[in-house]
Amino acid sequence: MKLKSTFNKNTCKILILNALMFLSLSLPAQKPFERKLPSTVKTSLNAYSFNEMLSNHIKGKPNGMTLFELLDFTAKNNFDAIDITGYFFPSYPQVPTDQEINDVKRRSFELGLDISGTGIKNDFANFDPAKRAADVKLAKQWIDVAVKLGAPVIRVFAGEIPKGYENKRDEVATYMAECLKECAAYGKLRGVLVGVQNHGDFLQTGDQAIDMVKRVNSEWFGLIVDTGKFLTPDPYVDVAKTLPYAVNLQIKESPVGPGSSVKTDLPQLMKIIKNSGYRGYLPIETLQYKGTPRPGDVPYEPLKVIPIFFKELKSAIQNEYK
Amino acid sequence: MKKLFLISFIAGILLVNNNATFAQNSIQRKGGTYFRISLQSYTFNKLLNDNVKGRGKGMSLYDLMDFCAENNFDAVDLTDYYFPGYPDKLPTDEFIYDVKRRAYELGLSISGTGVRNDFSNPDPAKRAADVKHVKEWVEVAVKMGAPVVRIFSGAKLPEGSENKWDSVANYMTADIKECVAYAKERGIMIAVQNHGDFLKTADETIKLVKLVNSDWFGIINDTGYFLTDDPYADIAKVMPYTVNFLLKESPIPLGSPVRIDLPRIMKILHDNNYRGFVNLETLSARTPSKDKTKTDGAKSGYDPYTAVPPFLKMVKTAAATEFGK
Repeated sequence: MKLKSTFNKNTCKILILNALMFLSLSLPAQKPFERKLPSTVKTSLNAYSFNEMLSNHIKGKPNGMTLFELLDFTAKNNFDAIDITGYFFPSYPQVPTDQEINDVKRRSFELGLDISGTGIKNDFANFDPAKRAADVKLAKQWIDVAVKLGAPVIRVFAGEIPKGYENKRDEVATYMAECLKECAAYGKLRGVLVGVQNHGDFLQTGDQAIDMVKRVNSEWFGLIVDTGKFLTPDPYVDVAKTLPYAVNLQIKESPVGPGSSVKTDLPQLMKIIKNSGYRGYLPIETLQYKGTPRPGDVPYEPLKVIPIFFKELKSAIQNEYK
Repeated sequence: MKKLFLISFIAGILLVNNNATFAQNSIQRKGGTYFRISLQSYTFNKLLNDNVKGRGKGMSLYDLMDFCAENNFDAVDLTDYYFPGYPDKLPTDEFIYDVKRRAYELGLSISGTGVRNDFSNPDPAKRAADVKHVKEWVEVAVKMGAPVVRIFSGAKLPEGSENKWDSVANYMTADIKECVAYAKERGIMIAVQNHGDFLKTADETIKLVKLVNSDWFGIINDTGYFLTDDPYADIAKVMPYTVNFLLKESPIPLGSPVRIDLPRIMKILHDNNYRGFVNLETLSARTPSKDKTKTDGAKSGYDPYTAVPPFLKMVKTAAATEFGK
């Protein structure tokens, strides 16, 4: 279904979105999450916002940040939670020791922070079954880490469509769904939700993401709705469509991509989230622009950028939920 | 906001100074005061028990979570005796995960869980059985995603044997150390609740914390069970060791009409830079009488469905006044 709408026709669009949500709710296959109550949200910070500094620390480079410093920053800024991706544990892709995990968990609790999720880097679009199997194994290992961390959900990726497979979407989707099913089955066994993130890769649109959810068809599986990675004319429509299947979110500064001058319309986004009945975390993720420097670009400084974006988010939440 | 920051900053300095006077163990919290509100399941004790024991429909854990979500609690605290099968059987993984998943779906954190135990019992076999149960429940906590397991110390010493406090504390410490050593390996905190029992005062509670002496051990600060002349002083005193704050309607146990001074409580949380959960617990107006008819919640006219929302509202109002949000 194609929708013609502009960023400005909000009222009309919300009506259409509601209709769409109703439609998707009434589809027979995988049930959306049961959300009968009014929406309520908690804030979280995605560790990837400090990607460079956290990686610097792991590599022993200057200007680094430890996970404990990240937790302190997150607490000082009064986030409700922290989302710690697997690769910010120095041992990644190897799993950390229990002691490392437990120390991070205890410190988070002492600081009043939930751990809203964790995640891995993987590629289930890869045509090589051995590579996919290795990544399924990685996901299972990190599901065990999620249990120990007390993280309720683990993020996985779909992966980029391999060269030469551009016209074989269905074939890729079939083997990808098999991998995700195996992850979800293990997640069910260990009490951890598995969420695939729309990452502008194999999953570029709301429809594609929902199609994958239905293929996997497990109540332990859902979407990490990334507000900055739907490659569609109107990403807000895709966000609205996918929210009934969301197990977590990632709120980005731009609906288009890092470094874009188009900023996320937070009031509109909050309206969409509230209308969906979503109850859970709203992790934010600020990003460094990775292209060739352009005139007027300011260096990416997460310590400054995050509090500003977080303040904007909180005020949008307050306005919408009051 | 600036003012709040300044106050937090000063409170932070006070806290640091405070810490210096204690051994170790006190929790270093950075940032200003920040807490979220949870509901302690004991609030619905009778109804939850009715359900678990098949005495009637009562309330299931799912009903409880729905209630918490409907009232916009941030979290829920689920105690062992409300899980089907207690005390004979541990809940199945399937049941635990289903509860965990439902809580997540509702946007509720699980702020903690807890067990019933008595480490003051002179019979080593009885204590060993309770240690075993704590360990088993640590495993349930891991599976549930609960960060802390609440334990009790043990029963009040019989009258006339108060001089045995230290010797009982010694064997109790050995039991708790065993629990904590296990919990540490599994990434779960153990916290003892002052319950007007073996632990009646802040000093006794802190003494036990220091005997156990572990980063993985702390206090569930029960605002309704310090049996002292000025419970607020005790509540404040144990703050540096508090891992969960249990807020009741009265500072005096067993159905006292005295209402808790919420502005004062907020100030204590603020002064101590508390970060974490504040668990609310409302109780039926029980009397210490042996008369069974008076211990029945239903007969006392206690209705948690109507008791919780106004208490929650008062707590939120007091918080807003203290923290200016």
